[in-house]
Amino acid sequence: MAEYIELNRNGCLLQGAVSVLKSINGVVPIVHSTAGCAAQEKYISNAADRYGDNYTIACTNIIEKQIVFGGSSRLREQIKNTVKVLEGELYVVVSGCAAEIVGDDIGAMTKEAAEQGYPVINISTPGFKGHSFDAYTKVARGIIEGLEKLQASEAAVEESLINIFGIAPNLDPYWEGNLEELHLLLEEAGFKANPLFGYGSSVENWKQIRNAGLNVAFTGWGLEIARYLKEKYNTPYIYIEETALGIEGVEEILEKLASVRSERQEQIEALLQQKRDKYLYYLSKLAPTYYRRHIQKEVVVVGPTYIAAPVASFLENSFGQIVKAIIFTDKAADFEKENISKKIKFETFFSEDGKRIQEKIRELSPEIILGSQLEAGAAKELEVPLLHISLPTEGSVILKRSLLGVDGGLAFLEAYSNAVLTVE
Amino acid sequence: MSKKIKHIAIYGKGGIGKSTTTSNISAALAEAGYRVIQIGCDPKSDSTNTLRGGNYLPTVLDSLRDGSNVKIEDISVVGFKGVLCIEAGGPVPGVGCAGRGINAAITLLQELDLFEKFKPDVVLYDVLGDVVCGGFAVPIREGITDKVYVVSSSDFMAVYAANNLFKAISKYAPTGGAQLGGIIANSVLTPYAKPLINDFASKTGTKVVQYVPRSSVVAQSELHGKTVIEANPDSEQADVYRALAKYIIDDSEAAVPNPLSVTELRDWAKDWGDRILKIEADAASDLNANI
Repeated sequence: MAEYIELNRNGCLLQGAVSVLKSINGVVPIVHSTAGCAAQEKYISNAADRYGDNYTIACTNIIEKQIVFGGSSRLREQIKNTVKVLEGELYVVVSGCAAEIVGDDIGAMTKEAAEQGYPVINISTPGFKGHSFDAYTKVARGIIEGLEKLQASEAAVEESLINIFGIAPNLDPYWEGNLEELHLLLEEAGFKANPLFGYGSSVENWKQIRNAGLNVAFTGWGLEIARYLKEKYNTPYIYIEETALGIEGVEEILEKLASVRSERQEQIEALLQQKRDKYLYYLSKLAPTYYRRHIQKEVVVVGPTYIAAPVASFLENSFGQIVKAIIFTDKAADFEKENISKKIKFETFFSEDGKRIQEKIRELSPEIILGSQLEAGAAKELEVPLLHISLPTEGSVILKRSLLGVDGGLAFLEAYSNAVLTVE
Repeated sequence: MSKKIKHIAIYGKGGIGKSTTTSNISAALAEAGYRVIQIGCDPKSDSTNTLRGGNYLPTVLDSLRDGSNVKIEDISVVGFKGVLCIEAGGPVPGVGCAGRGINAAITLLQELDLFEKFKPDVVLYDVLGDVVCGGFAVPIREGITDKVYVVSSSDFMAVYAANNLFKAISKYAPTGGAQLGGIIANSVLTPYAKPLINDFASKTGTKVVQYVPRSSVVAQSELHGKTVIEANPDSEQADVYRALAKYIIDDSEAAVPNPLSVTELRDWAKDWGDRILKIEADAASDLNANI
């Protein structure tokens, strides 16, 4: 019998694609699928995102008629109407399961709209082709390729311009704060960040991707795009496999930057020293409370690999916490699970099932849980604090808090310590 | 109590003659006094052409496309001796999903209470026989038809399509789907045709219910836009169809076939590839001996 999943927290490729697209200013997603596909994204991604309750997603709302006879003309009509009523600089048609099974020629419809002068592209994202996590690279590549067809101007590389890839919008509750923290760090190091998602992002910035002098890639997703851009535009890249929190993350990024930009080495080293000083200054302010109030706790971390693994490492290595286990919630193939478990020194479990995760937590009986809203039941039962690090985070407002950089790392330690102290 | 309506599906590879066969069965049954509905389940929507003398018939799916409040009268036409002709219809080739179309059309007919209102004795579904996806298997799934006949010639591709249909039947039969009534051997002409189809039938646990010879009477009738029963009622071919129709309406035998696996079918075909030349040669020498 197939395994059941209760309290699932992971969406499909289409949901992930909409989550990513709606984080880019000026981009209007058009969902070519049944009505529920457009609605479900709202419930999965962060409730505190900028759409809030004013949730407007263009959707073809296809019904049986379009399945039997094809939905291309419905899509044509929807594109025509959407460009009239929703303001945007780039319209991206994303396709759901039904339209893809039926084989609608979506490319022909977007090409037709583009020939009429509308900036419309399409990305094939049938839900059955993958998880929401797979959407980031699919969408990023799709936009880059789509814009290439629409823009005529020549590339002009600007050495100090940097793109950041791999921080996935709305698939990580802290994505926006994390990105902003990284942008600031790059600017302090004398570079110019090219915001592609969230605050400051624009379609124009996406057109500038090929003009960047360097790409900074985080996680496997970022690496995939960086490799693609290296091949396409010969843009060099640096790769940071795990997005480390706190000063360790800052060190890794700055050291890698210095290694490829020797002319800026001095400036970067000075910045690094300044960051270390700042970090240690504030950390030492926390030290008396840490020892006096015994902030060292046994913790269980629950979330997708790209969030849970670095959070657990940071807590143990930089904050002396005892990580009892990590429960990974993203869908990973068995060989990937093995690789991940080998790399990580903590005990690891993999589950997408909310109930089993709850049982596991009960068994581990930690003193604090880092996870999502779905772990609230376990936290209540064990009477331990719960800190949100992964989606869904219904009930807590996360605007631009970060886990990365000196400020992000310190804010996280602040929140962690307060959560522990409040209970005592 | 309402009488039991026989729902019978007739499948076969495209171009094998299943519409011709089905229409002639319908005509023969109607001639014998039965109330018959023939539903063409093929996007080409030409199943009932010879029954309705070329009268225009909007398809069930045309009405779905228009979104109008559809009535049975809008999507049916009374043809030869009262046969109610219906075409499911479908999308233009290369667009949409014809399989879902079959599903939608049959659902719509059920919603319209077609069978309760028309009160037929028998409903014949003429279905595109390659069963390329779930949609084309709808007529053999639970609650639609009781029995399936497959039209096949002795061409390997027709046998291959029949074997695929057997796979679909054996998949759905355990959950209440239709069972196989047998094979209608069509265009039987060459000396090896009968033994080849018989052998395939016995290998798959079924039987041949009628041999329909290739005949120019069929072509002539079709060119006049009529069934053989209507155009050449006194021909031998008409009697063949009458016998087939009688078998189908009287027959209660049905079974779940044992389809051949890909390798079994290939080996079987190879074996027959060797045998047919010998059968032809033997037939030729018999002929010479008789001269």
